[in-house]
Amino acid sequence: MNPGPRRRERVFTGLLLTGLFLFAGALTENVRQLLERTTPDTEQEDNSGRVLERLHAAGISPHEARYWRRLEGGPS
Amino acid sequence: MKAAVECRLCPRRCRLEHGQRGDCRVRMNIDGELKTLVYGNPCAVHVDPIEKKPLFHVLPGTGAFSLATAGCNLHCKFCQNWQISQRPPEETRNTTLPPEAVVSEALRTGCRSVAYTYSDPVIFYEYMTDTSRLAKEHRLLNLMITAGYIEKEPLIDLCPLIHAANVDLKGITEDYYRRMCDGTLATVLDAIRVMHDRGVWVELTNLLVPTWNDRPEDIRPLCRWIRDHLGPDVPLHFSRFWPMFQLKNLPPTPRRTLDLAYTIGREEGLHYVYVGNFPGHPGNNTHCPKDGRLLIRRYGLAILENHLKDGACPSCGTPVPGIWRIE
Repeated sequence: MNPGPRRRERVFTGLLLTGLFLFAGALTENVRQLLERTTPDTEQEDNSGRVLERLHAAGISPHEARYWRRLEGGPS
Repeated sequence: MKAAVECRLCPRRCRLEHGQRGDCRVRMNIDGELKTLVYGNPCAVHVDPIEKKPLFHVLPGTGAFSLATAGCNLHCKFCQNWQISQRPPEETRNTTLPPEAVVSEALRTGCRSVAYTYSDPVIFYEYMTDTSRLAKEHRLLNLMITAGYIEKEPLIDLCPLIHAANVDLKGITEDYYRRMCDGTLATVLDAIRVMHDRGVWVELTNLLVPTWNDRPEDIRPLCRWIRDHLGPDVPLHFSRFWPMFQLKNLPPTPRRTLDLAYTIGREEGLHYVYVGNFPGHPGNNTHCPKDGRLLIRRYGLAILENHLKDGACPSCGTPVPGIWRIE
């Protein structure tokens, strides 16, 4: 009995799976970065209490910002 | 329905609904009001030699109390500080350091200046301005290390507080700014002019990225713009690129490219051309533009010799522009 072909098959499958995992990891990281940039932390459905709670939990105290204006008709 | 807001700090003018953050990740609409999430919460605090900023014509050999918060309003592929600049403040390790504490720490550590640096201080504008006001009262210089991507109104309001700025002029084409940094060149050039015209001591840095902005036809127009719009006395630092962030595929800037840029800068009539991130390069030093005498000899960030006498060449008396003492 010659185990050669079966071992090669296992090695090939192993390499293939490793490659796929690495590719998936890289893709996920890139997509995550992209999403982070294009839709930054949307919490529109959230109420302000929960937003503040989450920020405070991270040690962040929102402070009054300068140079902005209120949009009457909402953002376009 | 909570009101939407428009941030008018930088040219992006992010329009945000309740709960949304700007492109910088640190300014957020909370209940119809824009808030900054990084006031008094720096994620990087160090005492650096002022030469690291780089500011070669400001109090040489002194310490600069340097700080930054998370976030940035540009997204340069080569960013050296991407671990903090491309992260929201929840993902960085922050410390609580209100403006009063910054000033007292700067004085305690013997620094002569406070540097707003590493990420881009534009995005922690409120923290920077409040700290600057206090620092100025205590005779500390305020140094802004920035890409200059800011709206005119906040910049004009800021200028009286800032003594010196190093502005990263990353390239000299809109295409480069769009593709490499997701920004616009015109805004940056305007910001540089505004600071210069309002008496802020300005030095410029240009990172030479192999294959992106390192050809003579990239370098020469940049030098000409500086000479024609700001004058030959504005120092220009050519900085060596090191593979980083999204450009790890590129090699470091070769020595010959740095030599070429240095030569072009001098050919175009700039008086003070420097080469950074390359210790031992002759471009680390300051020479008198009139008689060529060596005035300040550096090795990287270290000052080895300083022959300036009252801010002038000791041989011919030619004044060297800069801030050599605190008035």
